Amino acid sequence: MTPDEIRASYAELADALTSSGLGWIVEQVEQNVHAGRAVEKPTRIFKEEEREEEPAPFLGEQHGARRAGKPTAMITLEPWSDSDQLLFLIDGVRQAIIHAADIENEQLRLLRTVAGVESVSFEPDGEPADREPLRLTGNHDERIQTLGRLLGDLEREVRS
Amino acid sequence: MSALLTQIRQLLPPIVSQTSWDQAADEDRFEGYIFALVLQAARKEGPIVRFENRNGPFTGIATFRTAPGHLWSDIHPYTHAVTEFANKPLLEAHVGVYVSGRSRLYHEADVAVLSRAVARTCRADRTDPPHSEAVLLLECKYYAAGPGVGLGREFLGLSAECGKDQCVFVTNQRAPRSQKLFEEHDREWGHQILPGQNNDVDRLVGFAQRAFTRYRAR
Repeated sequence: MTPDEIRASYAELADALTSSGLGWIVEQVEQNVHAGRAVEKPTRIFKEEEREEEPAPFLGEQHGARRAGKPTAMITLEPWSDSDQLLFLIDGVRQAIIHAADIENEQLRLLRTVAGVESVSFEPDGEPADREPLRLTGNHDERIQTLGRLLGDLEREVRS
Repeated sequence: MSALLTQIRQLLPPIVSQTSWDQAADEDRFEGYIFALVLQAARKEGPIVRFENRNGPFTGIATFRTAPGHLWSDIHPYTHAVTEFANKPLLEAHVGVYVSGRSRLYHEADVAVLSRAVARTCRADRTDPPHSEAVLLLECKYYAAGPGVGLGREFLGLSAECGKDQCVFVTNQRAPRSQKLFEEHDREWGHQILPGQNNDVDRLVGFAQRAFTRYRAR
């Protein structure tokens, strides 16, 4: 995929998510992207300059000839590439829906080995209830499987 | 390429209308899953595990909290698990309860395993359990994208308050920056905890299992 195609795909997927009420996935991905990628950068600390009897008034940071001192690794933040950003968004959808459905099914399977659990209900504790209760009975919707396959295809195109 | 995105766009609305796929719902699912993994770890150590509700016997619907609350709360018939190890006092496992830390401040434990005697006291006296009575405290974070390192910093504070040996940070993501933080500060973590990620899941179950082993050996 060309850089333009990657950027256009990100915008299209982000719009599809937002218009389907899944804008929170886009927001989380963008927060992650905004935080940047922490990388170690080998560098050398400036060697301290010799002090003068009467120092000149400070005129801002002046980068004169660098006298390389002690070698060290420092942390810097680099921006994520466009393709990384699109891969994050694809993975975000996978986590939010595909893996969440797997988690629901596995949770019920495991709990049923302990006792006769028909369903799991999440209910707010306290007032006022700021959200609706959640009832889990297992999720085997074929459309979710299809979505997972399409996301896999899209990811392969981004990586190709 | 565009055809793929068109198909995805068409699939999303019917999937979204079917049930809740928001951050809070996904976190609830994750906490229930981690609770189930903790019970799996307990069962590997051999106890009888059964469910009870806050107000009586278990009826087949496991009811958990959408957000941490007081263990004694009776607004809903919240469900907990009871584990019976031979010749040991009973334990209870809960989803989403407050625990008091060293400083006597409240902290939220997404999954907690603690003494049943203490839990009964809390229900009777409407108090919250102290961290010192906890066998396991799990902080669960489910994110669509990498959780910020701020969550790792918060967990350092929580585990300093509630005991680093029984606290574990659990997330569905890889979170390499948090891993570094936890390794540096000797904290337990479980990353990529998802069905199918067998190594990572086994590692978390193993940590929980060791906590139960230590309890049995006390």
